[in-house]
Amino acid sequence: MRAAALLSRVGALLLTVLAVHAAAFLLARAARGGPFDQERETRPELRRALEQHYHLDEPLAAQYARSLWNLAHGDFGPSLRYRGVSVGEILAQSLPLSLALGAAALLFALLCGVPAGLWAATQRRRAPDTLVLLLTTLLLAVPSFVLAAAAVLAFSFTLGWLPPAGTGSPAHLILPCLCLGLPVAAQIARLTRSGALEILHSDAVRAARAKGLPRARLLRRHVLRPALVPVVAFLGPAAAGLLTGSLVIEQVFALPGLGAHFVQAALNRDYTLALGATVTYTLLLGLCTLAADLLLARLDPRTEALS
Amino acid sequence: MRPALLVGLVLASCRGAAAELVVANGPDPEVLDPQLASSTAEGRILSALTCGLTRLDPATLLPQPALAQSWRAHDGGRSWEFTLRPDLRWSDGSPLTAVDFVDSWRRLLHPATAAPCRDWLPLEGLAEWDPDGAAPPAGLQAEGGRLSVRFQRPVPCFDQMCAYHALAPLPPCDRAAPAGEPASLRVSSGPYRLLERRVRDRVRVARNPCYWDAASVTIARIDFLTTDSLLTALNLFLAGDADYAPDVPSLAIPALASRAEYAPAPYFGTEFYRVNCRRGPLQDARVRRALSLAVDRDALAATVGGGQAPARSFVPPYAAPYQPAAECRFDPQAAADLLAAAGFPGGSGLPRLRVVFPSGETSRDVAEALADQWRRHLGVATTLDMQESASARAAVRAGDYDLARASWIGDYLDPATFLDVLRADNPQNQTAWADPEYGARLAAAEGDAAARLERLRAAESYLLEQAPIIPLFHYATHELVAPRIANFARNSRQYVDWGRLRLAATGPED
Repeated sequence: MRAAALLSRVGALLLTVLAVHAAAFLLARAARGGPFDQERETRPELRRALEQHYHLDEPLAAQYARSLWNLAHGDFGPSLRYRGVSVGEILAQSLPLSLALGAAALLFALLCGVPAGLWAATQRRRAPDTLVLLLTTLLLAVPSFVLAAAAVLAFSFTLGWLPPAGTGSPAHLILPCLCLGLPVAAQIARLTRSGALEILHSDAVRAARAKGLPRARLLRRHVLRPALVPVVAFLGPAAAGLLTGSLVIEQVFALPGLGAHFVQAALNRDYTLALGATVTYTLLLGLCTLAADLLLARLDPRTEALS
Repeated sequence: MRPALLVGLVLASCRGAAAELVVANGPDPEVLDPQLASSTAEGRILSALTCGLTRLDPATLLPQPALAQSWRAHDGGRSWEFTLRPDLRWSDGSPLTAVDFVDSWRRLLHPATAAPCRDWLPLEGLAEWDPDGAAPPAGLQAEGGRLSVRFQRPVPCFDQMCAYHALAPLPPCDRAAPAGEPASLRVSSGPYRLLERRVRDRVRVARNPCYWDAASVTIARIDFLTTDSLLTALNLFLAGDADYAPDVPSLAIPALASRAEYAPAPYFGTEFYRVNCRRGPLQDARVRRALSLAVDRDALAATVGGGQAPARSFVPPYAAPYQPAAECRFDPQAAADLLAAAGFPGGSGLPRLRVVFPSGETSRDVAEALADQWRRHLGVATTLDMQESASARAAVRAGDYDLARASWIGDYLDPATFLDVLRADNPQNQTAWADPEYGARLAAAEGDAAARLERLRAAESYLLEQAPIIPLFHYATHELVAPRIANFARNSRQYVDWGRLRLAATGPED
C-alpha cells in the first residue's frame, strides 16, 4: 500500500514536470525579443541563419516535440546564448556549487533555528524569548542583498576575516552560506517555537511533568518531536529553494550557481537553458517535498501524508 | 544530506588557486568565437587568446606589427599587402600561414557564420563568390608568406581593424567545424591559450609558448572572473582579490576619486537617442532638430551623467586628427522657433512622444531629465516607457518607438566606425532615416584620402543637422588598476595588450 502510494506520488511528480515544461516552453516564447538579440543589431539574413541552425524557424509544435524528445533523453540541447556550450554542461557546472551551498545553509539553519525556537518556547515572555522574536523578525524583514552587503562590510572589510566574493576555497562559501541560511534559520526558529508552545501546554506534557520526568528528557522525547512537524512541512520547499541557489546571493558573491541562470536565462531569452533550469528546479522541489512528507509520516504516524 | 557528501560537494565546488593576474571582467562571455563575440567583456578575453596581423600600441592606439611584420596600403586603402613573420605557429605547435587568414576570413564571410563584422571585408568579387565553393573571393589571396587584400572601396583604417579579434585567424580545427558551430578556441594564436572556461565563473588562460612574441609575455596565467555586479567587482578589487576592474559603480566614484588606482579617462563611445523618422511629425527634420537643440547637455551631464562628458557631436573628439562637427548646442529659442515653423508652436498639436529605454536606474534618470527639458523648453509631452532590455531592443527593431536610448562604442579609432552606423543599409541604423545626401557625402569621403577627414566632418555636420539621432554623452572609462601592474596604459578604447603587461617583482617563469 505504502509502495503504491509512493509510486503514485512519483507519477504525479512526472506529470507535474511535464506540465511545468510545457508552460515554461510557451511562456518563454511568448515574451518579446529572442535569444539572438544583441546590443548590436544582426542583419536579418544572419538572424535567419541562426534560427535555422537552432531549429527556431520550425513551427511551434515541432519545436515543442523536439524539446520533449530531448527531455525524454535527459538532454536539454545547446544553450542559445552561451553558444558552443550545452545546457547539460551548464547544469553540471553550476549544480554542485548550488547543492553544496544550499545543503550547508540548510544544515546551518537547522542547527541554529531549532535550538533557538525551543529555547524561546521554554522561556516564554522572558528575555530570551523576546530576543529570539526580535532577531528572527529582523532577519525575516531584511532583504538578502542588504544582509549580504552588511556581512561583506563586517567580515571582509572591517574584520578582514573572509573573502568578499568569488570561489576557490571553503572560506569563500562561509559568507554566502550565512546569508542564505540566516533567514531560513529565523523561519525555522519561529515555527519550532510556536510548535513547541502548543505541545508544552498540552495535557500530555502536563502529565509527563507531573510524573516527574527530567526537563531535558521531557523536551527531547515529548516536545521536540511533535514540535518539528511544522518545521519539516516547511523544509520541503525551503530545501528546494536553497539547493537551487539564489540570484541575489550569487550575484553579490560572484558565485557560478544555478540561481542566477534561473533568472538570467529568462531575461536572455535563452529558451533551452530556461527550460533546463525550470525542469531541474521542479524535479528538486518535487523530490524535496516527497522527502519531507516521508519524514513527516515518520515523525507523526497519524499523518497520512502519502495517501 | 550525509556529511561526507556535503564535504565532497563543497570541495568539488572549490577550484584551485587563483592565477597571477585576476581580472574582474564583468558579464559572462556568451561565446568565445572571435568572429561572433561582440561584448567588451568577451573582447578582453579574446584579445588575450588571439593575435591579428597587427596589434595596437596601448598608449597611442596606432597599429604595430604583430603576425604581419610589415604591410603596405595602395589606392588610398583600397588594396593592402601584408607580409607575415616567418615560422609563425599556433599554440599546438602547428604552422600558421597566410592560408589560415584566407580560410578564417572565408568563414567570417560565410552567411551561416552570422558574424556581426561581416561588413568589414567588402572584398572585390564578393557578390560573385560562392560561399560553399573551394576558392576565396577574388579580392583575397595568399601567396607564400604574403596576404593580398583588395576591396571594392577604400578601407583606410584596415591596418587598425586587423588588430581586432574578429579579423584574427581561427585555428584549422575550428574552421573545420560544421557551418554555424561557434569556435571553441582550444588552439590559439595570441599571447595566451585557453585553459578552462566555466560558465558564470571564470575563463582561465595560460601563457602560449608558441606565440611569436612569447619572450615578452611574463604573466603565466590570467583569470577573467565573471562579475555580474559592479559592486562585487569593486569589493574583489578593494580586498586585493582582483587586479583589474574595467568599471566601477557610479555611486562609488566620489569615494574612489582620491585613490591612485582609479583614473577616469575618455572612452571612444557615445550615448544617444534614436529618433524614429517614420513616425508622423518626426519625419520633419525641423522637429527632430528642435528636440536636439532643446537638450541642455551640460546640465544633463552634471546631474545624471555619472562622470560622463556632454556630447557636442556624434563622434567622440578622441580620434585625432579628426575634428568632429561640434554642432550639438543648447539653444531653446532656436528650438522653439523650429518647432513653430514645423507647425507645432509651443508644442501644440504635437502628439505625445513615446520614449523607450531599457530598465536601469541611470537610463531612467536620463529619460526623466530629458522629458523635463523637452516639456519646459518646447512644451512637448512624452510618455516614458521603461522596458526590460530584451523587450526594449525588440521594440526598437520593430520601429515601435518615437525616441529610444542607444549607445555606440567605436571598434577602431576612426570617425567611420560611428558615421557608418547611420548609413541607410546599416542594420544598426534603426531610425528609418535613409537620406541619399548623407550616403553621397560618405561616398565622397572614400574617394579622396587627403580630404577624407574634412569630408567625413561635413557628413557628420549634415547628420547632426538632420538629427535622426540626439547625442547626449561621450563615455568615460572608470578602470581600477592595481599598482602592481607596472606598465598599464589607459586609452580611449580600453584596449589592453595582455601579452605586454608586467607585474611588479615578476620575472619570466613558466
